[in-house]
Amino acid sequence: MYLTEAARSLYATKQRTILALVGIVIGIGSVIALVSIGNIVSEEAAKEFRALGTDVITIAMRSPDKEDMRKPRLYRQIAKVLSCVDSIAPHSKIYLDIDNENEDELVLIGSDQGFYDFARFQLSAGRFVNSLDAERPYAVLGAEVAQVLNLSGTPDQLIGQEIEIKGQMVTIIGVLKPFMPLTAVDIEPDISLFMPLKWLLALDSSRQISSSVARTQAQTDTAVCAEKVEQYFKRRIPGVQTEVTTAKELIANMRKQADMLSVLLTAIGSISLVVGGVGIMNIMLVSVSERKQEIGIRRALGAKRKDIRYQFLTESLLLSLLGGFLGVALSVITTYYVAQYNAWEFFVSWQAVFFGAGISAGIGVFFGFIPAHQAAKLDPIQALRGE
Amino acid sequence: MLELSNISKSYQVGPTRLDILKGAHLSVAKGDLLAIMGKSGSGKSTIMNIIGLLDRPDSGSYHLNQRAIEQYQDDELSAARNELIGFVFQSFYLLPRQSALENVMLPLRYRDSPPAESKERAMMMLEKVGMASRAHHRPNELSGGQRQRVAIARALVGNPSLILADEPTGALDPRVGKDIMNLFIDLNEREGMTIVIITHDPSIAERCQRTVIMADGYLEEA
Ligand SMILES: Nc1ncnc2c1ncn2[C@@H]1O[C@H](COP(=O)(O)OP(=O)(O)O)[C@@H](O)[C@H]1O
Ligand SMILES: [Mg+2]
Repeated sequence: MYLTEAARSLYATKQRTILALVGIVIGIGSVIALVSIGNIVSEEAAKEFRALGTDVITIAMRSPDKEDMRKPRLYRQIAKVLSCVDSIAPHSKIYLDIDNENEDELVLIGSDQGFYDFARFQLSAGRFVNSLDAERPYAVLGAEVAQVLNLSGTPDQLIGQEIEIKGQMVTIIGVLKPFMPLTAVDIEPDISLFMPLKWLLALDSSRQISSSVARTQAQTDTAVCAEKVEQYFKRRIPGVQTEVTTAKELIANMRKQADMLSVLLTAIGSISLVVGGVGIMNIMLVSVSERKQEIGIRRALGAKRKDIRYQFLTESLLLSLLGGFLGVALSVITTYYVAQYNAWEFFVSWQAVFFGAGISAGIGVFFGFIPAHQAAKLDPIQALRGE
Repeated sequence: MLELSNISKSYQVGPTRLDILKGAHLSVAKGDLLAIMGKSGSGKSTIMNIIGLLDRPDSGSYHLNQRAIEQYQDDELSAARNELIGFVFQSFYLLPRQSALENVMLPLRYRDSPPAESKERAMMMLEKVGMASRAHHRPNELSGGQRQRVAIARALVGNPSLILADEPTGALDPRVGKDIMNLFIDLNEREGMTIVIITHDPSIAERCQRTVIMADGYLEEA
């Protein structure tokens, strides 16, 4: 009964109702969209680690002595010296701008067999580069590279073709199957060309192997192994600065960043919710003062104060729930397009939706209380006269 | 049925105090049809609002159905208005966004009667005042006389002991006003309804059994 009356009176002032809702729609919409997007991002990261394994450590290094940092062998030996290391993939990368209409960017990655083992790539044709290729101009193409370079033919037909890279003719020796992005090392295999590490180092005498990834043996403690890896490099390269991170730490860091972000965003969202709530309060106060006579009539016919209070509370509750509903719809649409754009798997965070519904109901009651109370405490005679 | 004695009421307007009622007496018996006359501003509506439990006197006593009203809490006053009193106002006071039928149902809504029953009863009342065919019209689709008929149906719907009409014909053509007056007389004669009507119009007062005049803060039998 209160509900149909409330719906009716909101409908009668459609324009104002819609304007009053803008704040709360944007507030709820942004909070839920941000929470949902955050959840999707962490799920994406978690998915990568599930596929790649949590037995991964990344190693970043910097040293004043460049020569030591240019010896792939130093890295490869670690798998023999430290029993906890299963495989290691030292690598180095260069960005290549492609001169086509899309202005695509490819990445040249100097690596060897270790990278193939580490990532567990699969080939469509040919073979991967290895340390025996030394400085030979060989290249393995990521799944989308041929298309970017305007090369035609099946993967098998691509093998043996020559392409020009950095002024040199390079022979294609392999083509990879599509593979997920490796966020841990910031590499997207599908748009990368894998070439012998030594060939890449030979391009530029100041280039170092600044980054590598390793996988630890099963049944070893990854954190302990990371510590051993760090000690190894410190011993072998005097004065080196290293940063060894385990997958677990990476996940934890990502979580922490996501959490910090969502705290920040929730704070911003909350401010817009308060603004939205004040908007609702304002509209309800206007409504009460415009409808004094109606209140007086209802009181004369026998409405108690609480009847009037419930009537106006129902109205503000309905108003804010409507705002909440539109906000949730807005957030789902926004999240869908953001996920689509980034090629993430879209899903709706139900806890965020319920959170949004709960918050909007809370706002309706909280900010509707003062106007409803004002309406209820009006003196019947004065209200009837519209004073 | 109702007994007012020594009722006084004053308003403070800025620095001056207006003594509107200075000790008015009035008793109305069940089945009375009473007219209250008096100059504009003499306090007719003021005493009507007190009788109708919309306002409280500054002093004096008021018994309605043998019960003293002074100690009533706000909620009890609301319930008493709902159950005992039916109001008819000069400017109708219908809710503009609701149909005639919904307006008539309104008093029943505040006593939690089932909607289907309320609707049936409201429809009966509309029939009684000759407005059944306009049940689904909104007030702005009705003439003044028709609106007042709807308002009377609303006053009757709760089966009150007392109808209070404050210049019910004041905003209507004399001819239409006469029809409305006939309706009140009919209700009084056929159903024994107790009715108090405030009016300026001597021809209307003439048709009531009893007339009292409000002057200088007192009510006097005419
Ligand atoms: N709330 C109020 N504050 C001040 N003056 C009032 C108030 N209500 C009524 N009055 C004054 O009391 C007098 C009587 O009013 P009312 O009872 O409405 O007269 P009427 O006999 O015309 O119905 C008028 O002079 C009016 O201005
Ligand atoms: Mg008056």
